[in-house]
Amino acid sequence: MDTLLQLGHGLLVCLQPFNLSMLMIGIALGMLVGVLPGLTLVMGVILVLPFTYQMDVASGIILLTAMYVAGTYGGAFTAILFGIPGEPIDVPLLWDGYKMARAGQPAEALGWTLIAAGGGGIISAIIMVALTEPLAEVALKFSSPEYFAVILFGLASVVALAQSSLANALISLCLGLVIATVGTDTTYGTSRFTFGLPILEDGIEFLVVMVGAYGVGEVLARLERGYAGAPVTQTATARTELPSWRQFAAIKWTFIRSTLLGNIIGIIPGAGATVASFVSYGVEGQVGRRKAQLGTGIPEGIVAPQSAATASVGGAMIPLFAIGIPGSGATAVILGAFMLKGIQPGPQVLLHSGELIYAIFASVFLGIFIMCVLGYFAIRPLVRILDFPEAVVSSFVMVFCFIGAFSIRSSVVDLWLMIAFGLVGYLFDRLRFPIAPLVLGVILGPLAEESFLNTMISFGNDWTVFFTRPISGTLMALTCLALVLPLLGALRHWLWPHDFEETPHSQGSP
Amino acid sequence: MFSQRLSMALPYAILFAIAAWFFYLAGQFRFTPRGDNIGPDFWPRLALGAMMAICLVQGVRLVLTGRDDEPGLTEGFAAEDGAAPRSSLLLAAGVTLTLAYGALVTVLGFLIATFAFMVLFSYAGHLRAHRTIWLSSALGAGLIVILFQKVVYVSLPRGIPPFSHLTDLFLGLF
Amino acid sequence: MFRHPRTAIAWGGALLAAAALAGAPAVAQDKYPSRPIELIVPFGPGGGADQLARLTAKLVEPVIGQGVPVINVPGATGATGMAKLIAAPADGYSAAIYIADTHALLAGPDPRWKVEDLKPLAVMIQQPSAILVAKDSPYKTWADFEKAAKDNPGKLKVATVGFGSVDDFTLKHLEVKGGVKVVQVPFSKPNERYVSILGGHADALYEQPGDVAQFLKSGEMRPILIFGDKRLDGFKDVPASAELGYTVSLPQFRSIVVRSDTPAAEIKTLSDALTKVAENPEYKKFLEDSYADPDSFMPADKSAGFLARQLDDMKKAATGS
Repeated sequence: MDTLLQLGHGLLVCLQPFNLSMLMIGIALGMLVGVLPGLTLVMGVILVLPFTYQMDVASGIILLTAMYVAGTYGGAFTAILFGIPGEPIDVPLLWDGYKMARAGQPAEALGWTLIAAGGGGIISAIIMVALTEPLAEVALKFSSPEYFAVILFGLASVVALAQSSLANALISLCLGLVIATVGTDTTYGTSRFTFGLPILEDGIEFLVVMVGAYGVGEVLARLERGYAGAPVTQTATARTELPSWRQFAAIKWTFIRSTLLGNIIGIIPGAGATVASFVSYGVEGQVGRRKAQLGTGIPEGIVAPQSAATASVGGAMIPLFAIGIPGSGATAVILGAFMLKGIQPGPQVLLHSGELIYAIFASVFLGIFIMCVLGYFAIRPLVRILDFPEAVVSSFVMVFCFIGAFSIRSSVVDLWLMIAFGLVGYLFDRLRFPIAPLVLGVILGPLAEESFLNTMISFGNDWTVFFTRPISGTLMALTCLALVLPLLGALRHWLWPHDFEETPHSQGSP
Repeated sequence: MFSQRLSMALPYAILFAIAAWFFYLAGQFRFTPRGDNIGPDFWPRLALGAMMAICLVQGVRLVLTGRDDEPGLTEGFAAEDGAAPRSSLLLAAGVTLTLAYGALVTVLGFLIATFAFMVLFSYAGHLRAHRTIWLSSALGAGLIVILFQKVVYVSLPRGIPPFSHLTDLFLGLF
Repeated sequence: MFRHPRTAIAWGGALLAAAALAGAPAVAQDKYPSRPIELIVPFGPGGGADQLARLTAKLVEPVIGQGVPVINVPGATGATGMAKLIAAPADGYSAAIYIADTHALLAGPDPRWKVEDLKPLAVMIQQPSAILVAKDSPYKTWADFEKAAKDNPGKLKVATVGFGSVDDFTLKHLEVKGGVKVVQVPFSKPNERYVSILGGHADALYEQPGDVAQFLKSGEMRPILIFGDKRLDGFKDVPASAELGYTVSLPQFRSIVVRSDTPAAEIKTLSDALTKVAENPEYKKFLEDSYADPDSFMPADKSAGFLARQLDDMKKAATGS
């Protein structure tokens, strides 16, 4: 009851005209950053950080938090409408969301993301308010072996979705992992695969690979066909289609599972919305009721990654407020904003500045609500972008990809790398190698390597710790299951291909 | 028949060779070993070793059986197979424009290069609605520059003189 | 509007040419600085270097009358950001935060730049480093820790930023001089480093007290050894390393540098502006909150010698002498 009262008081703080306008601006900017391929959420929050200097703490943090929440949602639009992920978290949305849109249901697909983001966000915000202190302990339980196990699980479960083309998917993944090692390694400071080029000492940023392979690759592939056939049919008549209650009830377990998963992954300091989104999609492929149809454009494939991604926001806030440890990249920037104001989040702030913290909590609720309303009304005009000549829209998409390359570290070299990966993406597509494992390998590779190396250093090269520690052991067992089951299937397919002759595989189903 | 199988296995042979070359390079990393700890070469070699093994198995299997896998996880670039013929000319135009942009953006500056790219890329896409193209490109390039130089700051190339003067002049207007 | 594409292109070209010509004379050489100065932070946002840059940028903007946008260029202990600075023109419109960890790369094999490539504008902050433990750690004092490390050589885990860093050099010194042999566990991300001792995954942490001020204030962490010859205000019962015979003192300094071939007049303008920043009460409070040396600031002329001396000390420590 006391909590509700404080939350109500916090809501009043948020409704003050200036704070409310900051909240609105934050949501608009967050959606914008999410939509723009190349400008990642974390980068967007950094770009806005200087504007918070002149504000009081509450307004500044409300602005950044609103951006963070909305940024996990905005990218869904570009992923679903154009097949270009605005954020790494949106990559899984390509597999079902984009397919659903191309099947003529863009508004339905966007309706599902709206419900998933709003519902997942609100539930995880409730968990955040109610259970901040007890859940913060979860963050402390995780060390290198556990980080590694979570990431390996994410890698394995997504790769496992490739089933019969497992070989190509694994090759793509390994290539991604190797690309991620280019540059100076974080532990030894050794130059790896740099060929003496100072350019490559900096490493290859995942954004360059992701935006290149998906954004530039897709535009080139469509240009090659002269943009023949609108990417989505019947946009003019498209209306926002929210799923009915019955449709939603049919997949409620997907929703609940993904939200809780996203929340917990958000709490872990080494992992944020991206890992949450991938792992949640992977879990859906393992245990979902309709796992066989996953990847053909079913709502489960949209709800699983989206609700986990938005739910991770509430999770990432928990260790930030309770112990002063940010749970993700964006919360690390928010921590920086607090520190610049001379406030160091942690137990005392929770005790002594309750008013501030509850104002921020309330802003998360209000932010998600406003985000959903905005999202609802944005779907229609955004879908109509597809009515513009595709040549013009594509030139805009390309330019936003270019800006993304510049925004990483203001270097034209990143632009070149991005163009190169655009060609790689195109070639992969022609040769029927999946791109997702490559991108996933580049994104998660550095996290996996560092946590693996740290574990080995910390435990004297004893690799059994991965299996003997309770949390990592459980995750490793799940990883083995995720990999072994499809591997057995693939092995059967390799050895006795004739068993499969009478059951033709449906094209494109994972 | 057999030559067809060989050509199917060719991509895997090339990937195997690349992986093997990198595996060798990983052995040449310069670092100071620290006791028994695994070095910075361990992780890349793990990935490369796995990649070589898979390429080997897959290549040999293709040569022996000639059976290709059906695609699993696809993102749908190629979902419209047969919808329209591929045009190498269009692809070449797109790639050339993109490469030219990369080469010229530091010379012309972001503003001019982007405007030119957007116009030409739209024409390359067989669009001939001149007003739409020039208007949307000019507005797009201008607004993007204002957004990323004045509102939020991303360091975009100014170009070299005399083109940088135009960039400065444009930004001076706001 | 345009009937023929060629006309359209010609029009566009003519417009561009006209605009370029019109623009040329308008941009004559104005007084420096005439446009924003980019301040490169060679680390990610939210860390100590980033906070310093953003505070400095905020305070220096009114002094020089131009914006100072902060750009994060993280990677390779700052080497990535330095490469960016060295690649930029030496016109005084690019500066970078340069910290002890990055400086330490020069003491390692194959440094990618030379100390002569950079000229410091000022040393902005110097913080002593410390060995810290969690609140409920069994090691109450440095003596406890030292004894445990000697009884079980190579068993205690100390979380650091990475191999070949200042942290590494200092631990090496402890091992050679005092026989304190520990396992160094590198965490490049600060939050994972802090969790490692808060969650009991490592026994101790090498860090600047200023970077974990919130944990020191809440009592979640406590220092057991301060490196240098001065004890730390607020922790007067914690020994300084010099008292115990460890001569290593590699403070975490953070300076601002430009390319060394930047014109002297520009360097003077910027250094003078930073001197004004150092007098700002907000800046003094920042130093205090960071547990920094209150006399941290050094203008351009003193900074160069300081950087050279630090490098010598680092090289000595790296070899364990």
